Amino acid sequence: MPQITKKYTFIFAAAIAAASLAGIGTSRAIEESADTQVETMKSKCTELTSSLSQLERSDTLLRNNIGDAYLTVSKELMVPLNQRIAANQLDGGALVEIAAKYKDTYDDEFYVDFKEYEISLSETLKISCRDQPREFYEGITESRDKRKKLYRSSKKIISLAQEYKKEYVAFKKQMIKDAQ
Amino acid sequence: MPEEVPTVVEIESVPIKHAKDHKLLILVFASVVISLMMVTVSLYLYSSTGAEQLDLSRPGYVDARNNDGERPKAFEGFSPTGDLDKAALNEFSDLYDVKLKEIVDIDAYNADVLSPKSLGIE
Repeated sequence: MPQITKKYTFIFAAAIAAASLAGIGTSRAIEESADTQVETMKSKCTELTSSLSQLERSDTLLRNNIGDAYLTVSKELMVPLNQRIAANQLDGGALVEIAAKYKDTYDDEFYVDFKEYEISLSETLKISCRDQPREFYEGITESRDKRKKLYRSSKKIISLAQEYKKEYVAFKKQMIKDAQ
Repeated sequence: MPEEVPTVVEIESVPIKHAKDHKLLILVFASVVISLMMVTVSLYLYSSTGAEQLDLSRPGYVDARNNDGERPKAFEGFSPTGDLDKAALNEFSDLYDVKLKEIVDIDAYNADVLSPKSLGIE
């Protein structure tokens, strides 16, 4: 019995050691890859800064346009329909709930995420990629993460708009059925 | 011995300048201080509310603003008043489908743009 325990202890220890070595190996590979990227970045500094500045400008323009479109869906469509449903004393609870979620996602997620992403990208662009390539690289990594978050909130808004549409179709069907 | 006559020295009264004599100066100074405070507050709000990030009038955004082209016609939207009959329901469907398509079609803020591959630093 003690021998079996010993055997299992040995296997367990070996597994931990192997996992640690694999972990160290992976993190070294990531570090090496990051070092290579930093070096490449240093050599392409002007090109990179220019394309990031262009991206920043087009993102702001897109934010204005897409933000307008998102808000229009809420202000000009969801809210008036909900008001009309209430005025006609019909049950549109589910639609109201989705509309509220949509507005909250816009205000608390999309709006905030864009602000954070934009600040991160503009702060990165203030770093000299020739003199501080490592900091510049970290700035890009941070901006990428913030952009991913922004992308997710944008997708969430779209999915809520689609959910509202589904709920509306069901509501409409019910209305027509009741009218017959 | 002649008596010494005490000399009377007439002291001219020096007018003391009070604050009320500098009304104009104080007014100008106070106006400058108040406007500086208001500018500070508005700049703080400008940057903290996220308005700065959306401002296309910033230097360097002139091209982006000009490329925006003509502004699309104002979207009428759905009326919040009236009956909710079949025609109204169909009208809403049409309006909603147009806007939904508009937001679904744009793949906004895909993170791939900042990937090492896209940036050419792989």
